[in-house]
Amino acid sequence: MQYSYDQVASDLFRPVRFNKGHIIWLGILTIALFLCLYAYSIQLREGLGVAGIRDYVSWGMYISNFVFFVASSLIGMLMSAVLGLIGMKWIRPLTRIAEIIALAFAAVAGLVIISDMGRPERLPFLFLHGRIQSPILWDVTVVTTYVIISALLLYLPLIPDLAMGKKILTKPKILVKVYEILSVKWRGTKAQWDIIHRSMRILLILIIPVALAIHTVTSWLFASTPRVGWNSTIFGPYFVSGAFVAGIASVVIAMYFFRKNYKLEKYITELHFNNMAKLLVLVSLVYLYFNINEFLVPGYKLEKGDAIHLHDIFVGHNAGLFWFAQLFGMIIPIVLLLFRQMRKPFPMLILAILIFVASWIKRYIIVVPTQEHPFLPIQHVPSNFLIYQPTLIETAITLATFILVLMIITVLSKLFPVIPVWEMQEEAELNEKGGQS
Amino acid sequence: MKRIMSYTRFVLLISLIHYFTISLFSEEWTVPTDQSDKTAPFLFTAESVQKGADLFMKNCQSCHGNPGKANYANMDPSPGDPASEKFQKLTDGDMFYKITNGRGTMPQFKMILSEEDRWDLVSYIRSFHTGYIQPEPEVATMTSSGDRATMTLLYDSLAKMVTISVYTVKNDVKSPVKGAEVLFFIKRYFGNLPVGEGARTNEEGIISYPFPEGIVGDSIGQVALIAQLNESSGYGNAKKTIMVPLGVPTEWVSLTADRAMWNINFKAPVWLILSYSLTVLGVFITLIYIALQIRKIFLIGTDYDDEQSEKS
Repeated sequence: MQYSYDQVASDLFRPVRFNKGHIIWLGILTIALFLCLYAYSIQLREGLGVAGIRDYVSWGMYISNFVFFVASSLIGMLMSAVLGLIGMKWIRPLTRIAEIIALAFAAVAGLVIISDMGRPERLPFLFLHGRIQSPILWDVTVVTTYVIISALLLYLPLIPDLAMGKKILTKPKILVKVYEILSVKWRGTKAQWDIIHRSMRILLILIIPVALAIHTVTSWLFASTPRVGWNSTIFGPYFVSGAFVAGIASVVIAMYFFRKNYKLEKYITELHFNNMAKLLVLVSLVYLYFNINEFLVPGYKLEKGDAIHLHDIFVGHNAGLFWFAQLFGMIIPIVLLLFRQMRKPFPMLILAILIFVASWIKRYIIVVPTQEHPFLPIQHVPSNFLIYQPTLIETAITLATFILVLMIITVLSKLFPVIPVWEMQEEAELNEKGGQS
Repeated sequence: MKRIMSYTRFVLLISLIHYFTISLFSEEWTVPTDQSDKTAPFLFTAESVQKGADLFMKNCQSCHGNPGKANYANMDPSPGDPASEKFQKLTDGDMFYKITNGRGTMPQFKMILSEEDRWDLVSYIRSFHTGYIQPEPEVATMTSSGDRATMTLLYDSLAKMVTISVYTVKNDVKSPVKGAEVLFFIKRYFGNLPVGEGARTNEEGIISYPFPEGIVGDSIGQVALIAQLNESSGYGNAKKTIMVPLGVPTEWVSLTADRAMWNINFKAPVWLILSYSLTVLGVFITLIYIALQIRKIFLIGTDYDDEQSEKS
């Protein structure tokens, strides 16, 4: 399925409009968001006690969710920067999808942290009174930076498309106006192209250490404490490799829906799913390697604290979640994706959804069980302090963050073409030339 | 069969040991009659209650909680609330004996608090008993002030000896006190470290103690030495504290004196401040550069438009 130079712009700008279906979809999301925000208003009024977090397990669903969001946002760096810089051409139609996902998750990650605060109005204190020695301050710094860089990485390659779009799109007027302003007088001169190429290069290089930092620092929130299950020197790479698995799953899900809904089969082909599948297997194998290290080494020594912790997650009350996460988030996809048939779009979608869910559960397994096994014995506390049990309100607030991510992705993918138009045109041009010679 | 026998015996032995340990601690804490009848050497006053309250907060509250609030620690055996009836039906002598000697998890305060301090504690505990009437103080041991002994403490830094002489002064005549028991402590961070116990003065009213080796002192080796006359000697409870330069000079560096990861923000390690600020600065300068580049695209576009309009 080839596409010609002339087709590209009309194909890719076609989905840029809000039709009935999308307005209904956004309406549903908004209503759901308001329901969840009502849950948050209860938490604001009553305090964090309405969530299941207590003295011992004080980091519950919210912080697990935060780790998951940061993890998912890392995909932008892997796709655009790592694969782009080493000259992988096939990722070009996917880079914008990856950036939109990265931006949406990174931006909402900050809000997820606020959901875990009993006194959110004290957020500025984090900056005013933060200790430079605290990984929490580093985390706040690096998440903010990453959001800015991701936004720029989304925006810069969009500039030529915006200039093109303002000519192609006729309505709505306001959107054309937005395109006009955002395209910063792009005339496609050589000097302007040079600036775009140079700036992109700088950002693509810059985002690699920043993205590694964002998730490594997130892992240090745990690994810089001596608690069982967190006291690990490989937590940084363990988190980063796991993040790529979760991120690829998000991108595959998005790819599938954009391909179907926006009729982009010519641009997002089975080859892309095939390649993403191979990439997924690669990062999953790296993640598996870190998992083996993370569990086999303490499991071999079996120090007292580790023994209690490992027993709990291997065969204890957290075992179900743990094995679900390990099997569906890693082992089963690795095995299944060895078969060509499984690397087709639909089977990939199913696997990606499983991995997505399993990855969320994995963050929960990393965050929660450790706190149920403190070094000092738990005594004289009400029984609901012993085992963490998320409440309905907590679940609704967590759901709200997902709804927000979906809304950001929906709006961005409706306002702008989800595939870089000029890059596809370049490709079409190359193909046509190749055809002639 | 033999094996089973020995196993049964073993189980029996264990249960016996268990039974005895349990019964040892759950057994009534009986105080010898002569101690039980002992009364305070002074009348309890608001002042003694206040002193006792301060001492209680420092030494007793962590287990016994606030008297009357029953917020004592959850331990086995239970420390109990000193304001409770169980405590208040004890005699003053019982209380004094229990504070002095301790048992099991209840610490011994013999070496930590002076006799007067311990009686102050009793007076504080009694302040929670409204119907309490203090028995007449038995002042036999508190001889008239003329007979109260005085002490001098001398030290010999070469021989590392400390000499205490105990004497009474009556009509300007010093007479040595013979056979008086002097307790001798070195002041440590938490409580006093007893050095030798129960030594008595000789014919000349003198005791000599070798100063123990390896006692950590301040930066010039100063150590606070406390000598206290045992009240039961009948010569009062004279107490003398002197600083002696006999300890090992030790420089105390506060854990928060230097720059460290665990210190306050302003005492963060220099390498950390540098790497954090330089990294953040570097990244943000780059981002500002990118923003300027976007502005440049705009400027080039404006120039381009001008050129085009000039041409047409």
